[in-house]
Amino acid sequence: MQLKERYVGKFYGFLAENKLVGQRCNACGTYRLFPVPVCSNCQGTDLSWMELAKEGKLLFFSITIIGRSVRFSRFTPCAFGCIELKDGPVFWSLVEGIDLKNPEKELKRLPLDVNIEIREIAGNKVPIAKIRVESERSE
Amino acid sequence: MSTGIRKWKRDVAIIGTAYTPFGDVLKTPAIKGMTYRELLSWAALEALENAGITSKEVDSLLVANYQTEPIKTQSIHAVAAEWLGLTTKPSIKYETACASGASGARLACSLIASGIDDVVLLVGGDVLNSVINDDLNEYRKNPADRLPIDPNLQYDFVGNGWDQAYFQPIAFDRVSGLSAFPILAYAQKFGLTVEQLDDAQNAAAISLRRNAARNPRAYHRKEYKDVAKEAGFNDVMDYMRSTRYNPWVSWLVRVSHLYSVADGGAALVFCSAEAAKEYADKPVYVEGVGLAAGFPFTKTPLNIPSEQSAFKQAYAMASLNPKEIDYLSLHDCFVHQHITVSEMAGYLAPGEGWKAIIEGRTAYDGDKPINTHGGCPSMGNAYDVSGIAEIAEAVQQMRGECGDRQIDPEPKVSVTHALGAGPTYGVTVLRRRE
Repeated sequence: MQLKERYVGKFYGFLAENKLVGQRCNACGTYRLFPVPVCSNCQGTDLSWMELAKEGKLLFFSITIIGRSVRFSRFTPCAFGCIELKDGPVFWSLVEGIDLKNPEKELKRLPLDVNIEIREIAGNKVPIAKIRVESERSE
Repeated sequence: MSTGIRKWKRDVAIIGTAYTPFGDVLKTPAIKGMTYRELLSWAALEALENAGITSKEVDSLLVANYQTEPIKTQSIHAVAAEWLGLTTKPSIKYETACASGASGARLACSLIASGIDDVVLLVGGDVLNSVINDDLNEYRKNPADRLPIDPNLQYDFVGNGWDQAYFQPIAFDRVSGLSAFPILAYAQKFGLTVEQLDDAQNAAAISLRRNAARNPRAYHRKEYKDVAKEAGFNDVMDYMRSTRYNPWVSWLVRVSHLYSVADGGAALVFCSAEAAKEYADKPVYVEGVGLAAGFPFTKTPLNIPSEQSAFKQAYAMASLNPKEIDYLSLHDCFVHQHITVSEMAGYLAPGEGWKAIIEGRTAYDGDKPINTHGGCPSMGNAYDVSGIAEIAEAVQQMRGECGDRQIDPEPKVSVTHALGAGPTYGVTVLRRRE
């Protein structure tokens, strides 16, 4: 199979346009955020680019207190979480809207609805999660 | 096409082991001024001696290295072959970060089980606490000279083992993702408080330091009870709960719950079972190895498919009933593993692991010993080298070679678990046969 895609460049290219674009496997229907040539669920190679809904749920979070990543150190202390997108993929990212002073109370509220925003961090655009407030619900 | 789990075509044993003192080549007297060459040679020569053989009997050489020098293209297997007198034997550089013990065991056992080799030397050497001079002209004036490294930069360097395209730019906090998420998920699953799990993790750190105090080759050997006393605390647990002395890195993960980066070397000598009888009084057989790697992005942080697969592969290959395990080794760069992974391994009862640790049952002299050498927080974490050293420690325990930290009676069955950057998960099952 000849590989024609430039997966990494295309993924970040879409993010630069504020689009969250991942893939859908045409064989098993699995969605993924980070594009690759082979589906990790069914090992099929027929995958299509697919714009993903910028909403999901915060499943877990922690508070990053000592920010050792040079790229993200200016954000600490910050909430860092595990997010499940509405279309299915799960990933980790920065989370906004968590009360950092009451993490135990916030834990009890999980899972929390989030919107995905594309933010510029240290030179490129990446997805982060923002806790959705009642007035922002799409329904 | 894969038809499922298979066993080795002939049995393979470990007949020699060694690890060097762990520490910092800029400060630790025993290894001060050493490069990875001296560290891996020390470990290799001591392991060969432990096996009762010399380089002459070695059929091939496997060399692990994570990030010794920024010149990553360096073929360090050729350097190792030169230093160990193996220049006419096959040598290969490989690496799966801190899972290099399990992946190296899989490679070594495969070479022997296939019949192509009888004796394989597996060695790792790494210097991670310092860097060479970026100016290569300066570096080449004396390649043993190294410079201290900024801890934040080191954190990013260590992250080089993770996917630089998708993982590092977005999912930047490995400590929270791989440590805080699982322990919080555990609290949620079993209805425990954050205080209970903070205490359990503190107890694991105390137990590891107590083990390390009995291991002359561990990096940090002063017991926490003595450290606490010096800081004015009568109760060591009060010291461990103090954010001044034991600060949070990430919520529910304190400094003492994390690995301490170390420099060091480690080696294992693998041998066919037939030849093992000739060389070793107490061969330890490698009955199963499992390996799997992939992003840890799952809905349930306690069930990472790659990690579960590694356990499943190794246990099936070894036909192991977890009740048989006498010693569990964890690559505990995050001490929550003493609770969560011990339960996944079937070593501690579900929901009971945290209590077993607080009760001291996982200490070297407890009934469920874990990481008798001191683990990543106190022995130190030399990445690929630690993966190899963890198997070495398990074998040494099974052969009764651990001195003051010896488990009594000597373990008959040991399981080692590894978590390498990537992440890569590795599990090995070791058995003594009488």
